[in-house]
Amino acid sequence: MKRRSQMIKVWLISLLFLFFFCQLATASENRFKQAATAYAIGDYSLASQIFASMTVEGISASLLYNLANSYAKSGKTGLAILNYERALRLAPGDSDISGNLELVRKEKGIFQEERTLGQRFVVLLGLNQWTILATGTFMLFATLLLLPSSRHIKKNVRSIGVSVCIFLCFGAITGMYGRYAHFHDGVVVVSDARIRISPFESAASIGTIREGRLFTPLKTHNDYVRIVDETGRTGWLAASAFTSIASF
Amino acid sequence: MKVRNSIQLLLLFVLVLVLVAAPSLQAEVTATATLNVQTFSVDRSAQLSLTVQGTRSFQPHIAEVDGLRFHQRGQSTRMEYINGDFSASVTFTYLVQADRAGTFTIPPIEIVSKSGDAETSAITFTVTDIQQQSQFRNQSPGAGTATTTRLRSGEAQEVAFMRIIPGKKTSYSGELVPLQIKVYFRDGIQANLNSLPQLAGEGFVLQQLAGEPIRTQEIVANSRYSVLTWNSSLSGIKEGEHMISMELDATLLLRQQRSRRQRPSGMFSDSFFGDSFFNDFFGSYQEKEVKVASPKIKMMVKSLPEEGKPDAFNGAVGDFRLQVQADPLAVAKGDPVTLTMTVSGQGNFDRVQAPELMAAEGWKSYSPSSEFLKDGAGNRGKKVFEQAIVAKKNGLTEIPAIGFSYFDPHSESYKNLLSAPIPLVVRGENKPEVESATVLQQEAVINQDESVQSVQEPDGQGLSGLAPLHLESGLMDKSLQPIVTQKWFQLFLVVLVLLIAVAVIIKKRAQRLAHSPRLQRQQARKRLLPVRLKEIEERRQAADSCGFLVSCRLAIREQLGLLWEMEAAAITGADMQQRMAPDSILLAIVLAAEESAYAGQELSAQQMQEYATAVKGELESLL
Repeated sequence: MKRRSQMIKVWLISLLFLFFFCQLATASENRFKQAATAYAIGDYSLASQIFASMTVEGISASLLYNLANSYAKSGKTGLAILNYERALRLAPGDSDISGNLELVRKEKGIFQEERTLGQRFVVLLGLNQWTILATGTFMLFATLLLLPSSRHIKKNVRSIGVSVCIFLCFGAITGMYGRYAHFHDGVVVVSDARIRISPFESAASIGTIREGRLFTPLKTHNDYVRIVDETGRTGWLAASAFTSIASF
Repeated sequence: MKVRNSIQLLLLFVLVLVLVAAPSLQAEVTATATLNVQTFSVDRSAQLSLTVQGTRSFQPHIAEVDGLRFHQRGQSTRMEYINGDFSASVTFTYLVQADRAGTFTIPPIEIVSKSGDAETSAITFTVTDIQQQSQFRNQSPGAGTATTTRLRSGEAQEVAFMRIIPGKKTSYSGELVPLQIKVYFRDGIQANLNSLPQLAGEGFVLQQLAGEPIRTQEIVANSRYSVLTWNSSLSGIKEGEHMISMELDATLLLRQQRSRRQRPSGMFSDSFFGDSFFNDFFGSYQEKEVKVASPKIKMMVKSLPEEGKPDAFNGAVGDFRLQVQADPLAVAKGDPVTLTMTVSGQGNFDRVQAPELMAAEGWKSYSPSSEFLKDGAGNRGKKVFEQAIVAKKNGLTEIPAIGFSYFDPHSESYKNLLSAPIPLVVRGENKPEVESATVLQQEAVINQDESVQSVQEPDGQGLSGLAPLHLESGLMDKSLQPIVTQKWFQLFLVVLVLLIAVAVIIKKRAQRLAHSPRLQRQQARKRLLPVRLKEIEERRQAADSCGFLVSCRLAIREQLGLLWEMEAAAITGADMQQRMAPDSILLAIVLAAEESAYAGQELSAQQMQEYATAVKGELESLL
């Protein structure tokens, strides 16, 4: 009798937990739908607010993409590009994300320098994909080397396999390096941001950097970050003028 | 051989992986040594400064030089922050005293530290006798490398003073006025600057000073001074007359006299810097923090005239030129054209805004980006603006003229620069394509009524063609951190590399065994010996004398066969007699076994025990 009552208690507690998680998931889904509805009726500000609040609990490529769309429609170019870039980190091959990002850039006149062959190679995959490829080919390379000699595997087949692995692994490491070098890039999120020659507000400006522009941070001093932008300009930018893509 | 190459390749590969992941952060150690004077007399001393950057724990090694004595006078650490770069340096100060006149060379000073080694350049200098030095001091102004400067009122008793020399004393609001700032330190005084020169006074702002001043020497009233010169600019921001001056904080290292006689006047009096040998050499030093200030000068700022001020005027004052370039010049409707507009010349470039299209109808303009490129000293340079414009309709045949307005303080009038329209082909028009072209500036006065249309920035509502929202939120993640920076992945990589290393070692050993008959035989002996010894022991315990001797003979023949590379069954007592010593116990046991096989000889329990012990000991010693 006592054992039965204990079993019932365990079941009830399990059901409570299940119910609790279902409620959480439902609430999250409802908010997602609520934001999508706001977007559909043209209330982009509300949509972006709800999508942004959801990112506190967790992020996904779709959530960031929807948030970016809402910002783009609200005219917040910097935040839109920032979130498209973040979404691309999670889903590098998503044509919706890359297409919308390209469209926003074109519409806002933020044209990027034509990519070199090396840059085009690096952006073929995301950082995680390059990492997995490098690790996988390295493991395959090691396996091929360590496999005992067998009549079933001809020597030249093994040599070709090893060569392909080395080639792929070095390519993947190059891709990793290229991707990681820009992993902490930032996006300007305010209009009329200025690049200065020293990390002080009173320092002379060497030019403006447009909202939505990408740059690579080099080092930080107080409230300023030394950056190099897409055109190769180097200077100091106020930390309040940008957000790091990786800052999640 | 191939396996060895493969393993080497694997190790190289792992090394490259590690190197890629862990960039080197080694700092470079540099050392410089300077002497404050190149010539001094035997009754005086020179100051040797040894500055080392890149390390803070080291001990300099100064080689002995015949006729020279070095006396360490102090050590200081300096932290610098110049244009975003921090650097720390340690400076050792020595007094150098010569025993005789002549030319001396201080050999390179070696710095040995954990961060690296470095050495300075050799320093050659001349030591004169007392008379020569006195003559040198009394040389006419302008002799040698030092220039002569007229002494001004109030500077005679000072060891440090400052002068400011503006390009002109009357300027327009916003106009940049060249300013030369000169700080004088009497020769022999060691001074550390605690600040850059600061502007004192209202109505003007000082442009940022270059970090490093120009160092020269000047003779002022027959005294030699080290002079630091900064070239900068002042910009008037408030109309009217203003009194301005400059100030600078410094720490002077002053020699103290040993005698307790009354000092004639303040701490900067000449008596402090008497030429006494003892004061120079044995005198102690005292640090004094001082504020060096320039005399006040009167400057006038005039307001810019309202008459003739163009609508497009944004505050640029100076002398400028305009150059406009567009690319491409054959586009489809909606395609962007990049305008590169270069404003070059001399003036307040921080107030120079992007030139504007004089007729923006039919064009959509985007916010321009800009970059300032300084051109040598002064306020010369060029500001390059890049702006995208998009043709909103077909039929456009040219990019409209682009205008830029500024105030010229020399002619005291406003100037308007206007570029020529640039021919353009919008797709669909039957005109030949043209390559990109450069249109040089044209200077002309424009009609004030031709106002420039404001640039229209499209808002987000105009964005059409965006792909629709995703309807599912998808798999949620907590952060954007890549797996390569996550602990579990790094641990996985370490385990993977270790596993591969272990596998490589195992495989290498297996391959060595497979390719070496000697090792194989050794392995077989190690494997068989315990089995045979166990059999021998069992027979001994069963008091089976015959079986015991058979097992002993089998064990001995197996081990010797593997050792001699012979078949065990083919080894006879005669073979063993040829190869082994006559008193060998193994030989005796084999012969006893053969005798037992033919004659049925029995062994006592004690004999079996002795034989078993002997067989075990001898065969184990063969392994």
